[in-house]
Amino acid sequence: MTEDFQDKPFNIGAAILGWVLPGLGHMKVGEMARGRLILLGVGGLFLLGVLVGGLDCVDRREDAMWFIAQGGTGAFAFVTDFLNTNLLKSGSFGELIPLAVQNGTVMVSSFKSAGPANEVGTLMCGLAGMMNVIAVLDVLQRPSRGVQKDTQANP
Amino acid sequence: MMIVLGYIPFLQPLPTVAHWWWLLLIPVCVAISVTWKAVRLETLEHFWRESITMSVHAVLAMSALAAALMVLVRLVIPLLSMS
Repeated sequence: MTEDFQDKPFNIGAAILGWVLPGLGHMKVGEMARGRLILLGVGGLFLLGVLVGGLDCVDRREDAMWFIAQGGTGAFAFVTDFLNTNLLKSGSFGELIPLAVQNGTVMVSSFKSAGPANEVGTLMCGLAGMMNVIAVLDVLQRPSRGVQKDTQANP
Repeated sequence: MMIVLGYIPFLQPLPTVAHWWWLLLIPVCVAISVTWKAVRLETLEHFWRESITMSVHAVLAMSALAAALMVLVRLVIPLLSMS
């Protein structure tokens, strides 16, 4: 068991690439088809979540706990959070409207999502992040094989 | 109608999703199956068949759980409170 671990060094570089962009780590170790399928699955689920819940379903400050899961998608989550902050919360798109809260009034975007759309969108982005963590853990122990011919399934 | 016409994809939440949000279980199961099978399968020879099979199993299992919960909440629990 110990020898197995010594024989197979962890693919740290591929794991980091796989976190930055889902599937990129597998592409780096030569598993091109596998990488494309992971990008399709994780990216598709994340984009569907943003489509359902809007940009507001990824929010690093207001939904910090959810963002821990969503952050598993790497660039997808951080870019979406950046766009949410700079497009919606700044009032560049839509308008800022007052919302009564317990301690007074806060200004929120008129594009802010709520109800089932927000819940389902947030959940989908979180699931995408957790699925990508599985893919990152997989590529961490996958030996580099060079560009290979595992292209029976072309997404 | 006006809400749907003024909808901007990805910026705003999808309108009317509150009525059919449960149907989103299907694409969620498909996406999870595609990612899981891409990671777990040794070769990708039967990838799509395996992914579709896993998706169908997941959707059927969740539907069965939902049906069982509905029977429990609407039939069994009211009977318990009456007795």
